[in-house]
Amino acid sequence: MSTVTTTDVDPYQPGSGTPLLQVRDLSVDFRTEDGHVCAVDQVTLAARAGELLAVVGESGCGKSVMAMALSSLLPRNATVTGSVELAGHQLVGASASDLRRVRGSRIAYIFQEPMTSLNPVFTVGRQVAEVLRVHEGMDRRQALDRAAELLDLVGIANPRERLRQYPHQLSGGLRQRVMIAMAVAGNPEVLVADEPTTALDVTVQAGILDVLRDLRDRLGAAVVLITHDLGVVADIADRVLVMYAGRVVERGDVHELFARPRHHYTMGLLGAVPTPRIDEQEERLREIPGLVPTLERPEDRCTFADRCPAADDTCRTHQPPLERAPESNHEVACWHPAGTEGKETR
Amino acid sequence: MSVTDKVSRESTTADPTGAAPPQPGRPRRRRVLHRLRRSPLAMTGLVVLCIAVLAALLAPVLAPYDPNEAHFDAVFQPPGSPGYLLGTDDLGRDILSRVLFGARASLLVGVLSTALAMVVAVPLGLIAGYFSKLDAVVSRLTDLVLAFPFLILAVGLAAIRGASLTNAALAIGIAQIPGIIRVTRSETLRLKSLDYVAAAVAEGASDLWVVGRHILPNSVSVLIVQATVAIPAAILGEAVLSFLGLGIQPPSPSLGTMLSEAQQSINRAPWTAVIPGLAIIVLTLAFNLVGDGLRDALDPRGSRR
Amino acid sequence: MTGEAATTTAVCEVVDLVKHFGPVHAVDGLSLRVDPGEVVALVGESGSGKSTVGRLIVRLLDPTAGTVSLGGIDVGTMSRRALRPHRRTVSIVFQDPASSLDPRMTVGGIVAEPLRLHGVARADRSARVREVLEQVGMRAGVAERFPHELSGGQRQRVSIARALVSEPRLLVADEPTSALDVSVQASVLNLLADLQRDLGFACLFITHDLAAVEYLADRVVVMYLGKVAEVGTREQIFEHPRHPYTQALLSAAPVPDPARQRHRTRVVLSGELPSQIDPPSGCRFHTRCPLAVERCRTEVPALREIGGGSVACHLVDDDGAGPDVRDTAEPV
Repeated sequence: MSTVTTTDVDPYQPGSGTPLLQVRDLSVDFRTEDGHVCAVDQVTLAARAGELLAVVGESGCGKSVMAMALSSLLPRNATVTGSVELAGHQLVGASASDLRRVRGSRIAYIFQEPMTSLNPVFTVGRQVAEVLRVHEGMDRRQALDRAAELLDLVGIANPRERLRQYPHQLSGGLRQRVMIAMAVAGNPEVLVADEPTTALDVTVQAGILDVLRDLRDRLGAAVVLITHDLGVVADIADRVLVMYAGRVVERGDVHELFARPRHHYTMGLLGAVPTPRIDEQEERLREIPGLVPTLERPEDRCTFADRCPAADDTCRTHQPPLERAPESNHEVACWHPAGTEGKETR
Repeated sequence: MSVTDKVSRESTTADPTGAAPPQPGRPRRRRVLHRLRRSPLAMTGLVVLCIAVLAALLAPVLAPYDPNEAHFDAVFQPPGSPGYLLGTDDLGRDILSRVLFGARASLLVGVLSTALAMVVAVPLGLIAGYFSKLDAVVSRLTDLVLAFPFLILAVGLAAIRGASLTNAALAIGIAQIPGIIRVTRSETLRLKSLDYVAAAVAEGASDLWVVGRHILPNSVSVLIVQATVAIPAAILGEAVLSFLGLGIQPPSPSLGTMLSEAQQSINRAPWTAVIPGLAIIVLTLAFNLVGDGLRDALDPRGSRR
Repeated sequence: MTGEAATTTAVCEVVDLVKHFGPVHAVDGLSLRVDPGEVVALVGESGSGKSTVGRLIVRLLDPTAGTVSLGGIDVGTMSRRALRPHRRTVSIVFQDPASSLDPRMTVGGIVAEPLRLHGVARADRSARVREVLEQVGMRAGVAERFPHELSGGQRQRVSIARALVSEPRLLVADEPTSALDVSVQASVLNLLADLQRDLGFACLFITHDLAAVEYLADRVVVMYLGKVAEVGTREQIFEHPRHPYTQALLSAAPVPDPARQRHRTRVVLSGELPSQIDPPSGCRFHTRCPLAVERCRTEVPALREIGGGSVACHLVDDDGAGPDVRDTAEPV
């Protein structure tokens, strides 16, 4: 288990570390008053030490549900099946006490809305110290000292003063840094950040991304970053997982995915984001017709087929497996991945 | 080249922004009724309420006897006696008939007073919520009435105008006004901040238009729930007033007067108090269950989650 | 319109606009102008006051000081009644698709409301509603639907239809795509671009998303803490930004291309956004500006017209030459 120190640690090479988090065939079903919803369907992923895995998708793709499912943080009407192994321990179906031990100390979360994640009636110092006292067994003084160190680690100036302040006295960016400090306090092996910068201004976002990058390099933690912002992914991710309607549709190295996307949904997403022009050509933003489906039950077909320009009957009747695309290093779930057979989809 | 050639078309299916899956049909009504049907407590309350209201409305038809008719040969008959399903009281009057007419009077007062309160309070609440300058005035007036003890109000009215059903309804109505003003006001404040209200103002809508076409219709569900809470409170209020002699006067049957008159005979013939008491409980509970059920059904976030 | 036959009467002109909400200085002396048919982007982060400006222009808010003119006519202090006929010339689209449509009205009713308010007869209304719904790419039958039956993207289209139904000369779009998914944003942005080109209305596009600005805007106004930092054409702002804040903003916005993004220099601003209740003295940006000097702390920089745009910065000289914050940053 890595320890948090303020001296530099040799950065891990992405991909060479052992998977700290191994998820296999994770599925999540919800029973609601409107019927069944299959939110996550057989997702497999590995998060390695010192690596930042970005999980990308739009609303309804199941990425947040998947993130919460990792340490069983979902409400009672959710059924989770599959395997989530955290450094060898199985988390699906684990007992409540096992889960409590694991949460915060081995797997920690950072959420989107720092205002509602921090308790408004307690000082910042007390909240960070709480994590330390619960998981590291420190006493009050030790915990506060350590809390100051952690605030410094995440780039907060004047940490001793900040310890005494209340959440409402801090800006959004600072609060998010406090959240990160709390998450890191327990020396987790896996850090799950669910849209950590979506609610922040872009100038503040840059700072938070730097903190995450720093933590990945210095702590050697496995970071799972949930986002819909492709710019953030381009900035900070090592590997990318693209989700659509609960399934993984493409997975691989970030450079390759952006340069040579194979799945038509990924291509649609990349084409939809306005990118600063390099020359004066004006290209129309790419639209994906139709809407994201909500599935009641997993279907044996490609869920993107109805919106895909390259779909044919096979796509509508058989679910494509996630496998390595020809002439590339990443995996895609598509019967007709782009770049093969000369299929043009633009 | 027309705009429409290039613009993409969208079908109407699921919502990509992550909100709840859209429901076809009228705004929420079918969905709300469906949700209401799912709650056994609310449905029980609704059924009981329907029966009670029907029975009370049809009292003249359903009651076996005139409620004021005394049968001196059948005094203090226990329930189940031949001819007197729920027994008789100290004057031999049939309790069933009296309860039916009494419930009728209670419901009448309940509905009347609530209606009166709504007619006065809803506009005031809308004004207070929408016009911030008038808010201070209305709110202070509300506080004033709220500070006034309800019973003192009733006694005062009884002293000035004499005790009667209408005066009971008046007193209770006045007492309910502040509560309804507050609820309407807070709902108005909430709705006022929504973008569609701003859109209407930006289009040039007058205040009357905005309040009448956007705020009031969207407050209806909250007001309905408020009514289902106010009516049982009014029924209880009527019972209290009649019990104290400030409302419906004997010999007119009222659940409150029945309780009052049963005070002397409670040891000898407990049913003379228990039965009207039960009637009050049943009526009040039914309204409250329906009100709770409606409020849950109308809550856009749904019961689970 | 009673505009004089000037060379170009601006569709909308705002001069020294000020809006204080009690102690909060939301807008503190802003001037801008939108000419017929042009798309002006109003860019800023939280606390910049950009949304407030949008609301001031459509008179949802009353200015504390300064003038708001539509088509040459000062409407900033007009009574509600006098304002009514002028409201037709400008309309607004809001950010949140969930709350911008009255849930109890049909789509047809929502889109027809502006027409009703201006006394258009019923038969004419339905025809026009059908026409504008088609223009925003929605099928005919949608007029009978209710907002909760529509997706976020569809609701925004309805909002746009409602805004365009009385043929305004200026459309104020307040973060119209911020609450939508990426692929839906694309279709709404495309729609706005198409409509603007075909129908010719001017557009004030309020946003924090620089990428969308580059896609849509002709001119850009950059705001910081209630004041204008820089104004310029799209090319000027994106290729030669002069104000340090503009430069920082551009450098902070990540480019969705790892090859490019990871070789850019990135400026990370220090400090926090100052409060609007007690804005910094002198240049409001000086507390976070890596290049600030003593003068920036004491003297408010004037918005000077330089080379076709405007900049409010002491470090930019009259020829438009100035430092670039991005040169001080370290590459990633």
